[in-house]
Amino acid sequence: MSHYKSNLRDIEFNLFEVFGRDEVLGHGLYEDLDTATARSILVEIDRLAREDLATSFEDADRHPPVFDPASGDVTMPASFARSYQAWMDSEWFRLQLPAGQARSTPPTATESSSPVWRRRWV
Amino acid sequence: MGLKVSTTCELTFGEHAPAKGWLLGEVHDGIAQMFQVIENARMMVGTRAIATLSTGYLNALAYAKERVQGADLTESSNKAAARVTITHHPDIRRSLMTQKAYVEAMRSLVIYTATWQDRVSMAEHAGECDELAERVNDLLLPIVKGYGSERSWVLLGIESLQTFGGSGFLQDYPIEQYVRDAKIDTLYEGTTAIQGQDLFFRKIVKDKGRALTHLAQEIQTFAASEAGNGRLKVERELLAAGLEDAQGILAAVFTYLMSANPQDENGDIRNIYKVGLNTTRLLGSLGDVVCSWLLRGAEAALDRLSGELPPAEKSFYEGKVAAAQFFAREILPKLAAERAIAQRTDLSLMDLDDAAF
Repeated sequence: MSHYKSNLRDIEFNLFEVFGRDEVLGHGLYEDLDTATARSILVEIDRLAREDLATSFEDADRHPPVFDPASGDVTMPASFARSYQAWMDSEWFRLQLPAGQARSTPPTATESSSPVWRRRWV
Repeated sequence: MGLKVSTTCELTFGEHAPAKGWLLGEVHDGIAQMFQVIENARMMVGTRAIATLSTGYLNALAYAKERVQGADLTESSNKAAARVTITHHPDIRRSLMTQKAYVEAMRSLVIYTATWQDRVSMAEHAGECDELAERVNDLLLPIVKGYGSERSWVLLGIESLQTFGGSGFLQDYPIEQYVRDAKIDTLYEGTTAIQGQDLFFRKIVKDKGRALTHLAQEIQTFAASEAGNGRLKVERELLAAGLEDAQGILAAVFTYLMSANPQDENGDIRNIYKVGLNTTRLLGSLGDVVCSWLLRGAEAALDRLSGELPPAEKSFYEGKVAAAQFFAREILPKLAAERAIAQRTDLSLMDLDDAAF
């Protein structure tokens, strides 16, 4: 069972019941990202964080990276490499990249997804 | 201590081959670039710390609901009394609600800050500049990073881990690693002390208080409103008092700053120490007021509770109201003491010989 316990309900409460992000999503700069899409992104990133990224939490702490001073190489624990690969394969990091001239994902959406994926580092 | 999977290391430039540099952007543009990177990093570090407290709290809650120990306090003299889960014990309930109130307030803080970033992005897209949004975002960043990481780490140790008793000390549960891993968040990308100085000198003084005035007005408007009607009346009064105390701390620190100008007749540059003795206090106090105000989602929750709801939703909204009430009642009153301390600051600590420490 995952160590990581998320609270997606509270994130959604803040976004849509307190801070009215449905007024921002799906319009203007964020035309391509409506509320339903944002909600489904949060659900998927939440799953990814709890199931794939959190898996290496304990092993990577108990078996940390090894540095070879002669070659300057670092060997990462295989468990962490798998979590990291899952994150790269998911390509959700692209949410924070600019699309054309301007950013196409509102910071509220990327910051709301980030509590979950940022757990991968610890 | 923690964060062991990070390949943090010492870098040596030019050990085997001459070091070579490339200019990114224009000459003398480096500091400006660095601040762009660091603003993103500070938002991220604060958010991660708060997320760690969130999972720490939820792990503590799950444990408390299963762990059976002792009898209910009202049955303590009855040897035959049934053993109960520790969620029955008053001090555990105090601890769990402290964690819940802080973590939900700080989750709101992150998302509220991001709403200002939404405004910045939308204005940029329209070829405009939303100056107020940029200023308020700048003001909130040291609170997200400094206050967020500080409160999160302290609470993970004194409340989340403590809920497990001795088991929290073991590696059977994730909390001991959370405590080790989350400590870095109060340190890197600018320690808490640096965040406090950034908040006062750059985000308040240099900004001429514009962003803070806007925020204070929003808080005042809510406190003076009829939000939640009778159900949040006491909390709104406590919020107004908390804001006044935080403003009292700020006024004291401003006075110390003014008295430190050597150009003035009675100015003494050493009075700047009195500012430095209070910037971390200011960060914590302003953070508490903003966080308590952000639990205003309780108003929306009360609206929902007036209708029919499935049991899980009803519990969720009741929890929102309880957290807002707890924060206002148990945390904000402490700001009056912080204000009294700030107003009494003198130079005795700076005058004390190092040998006396």
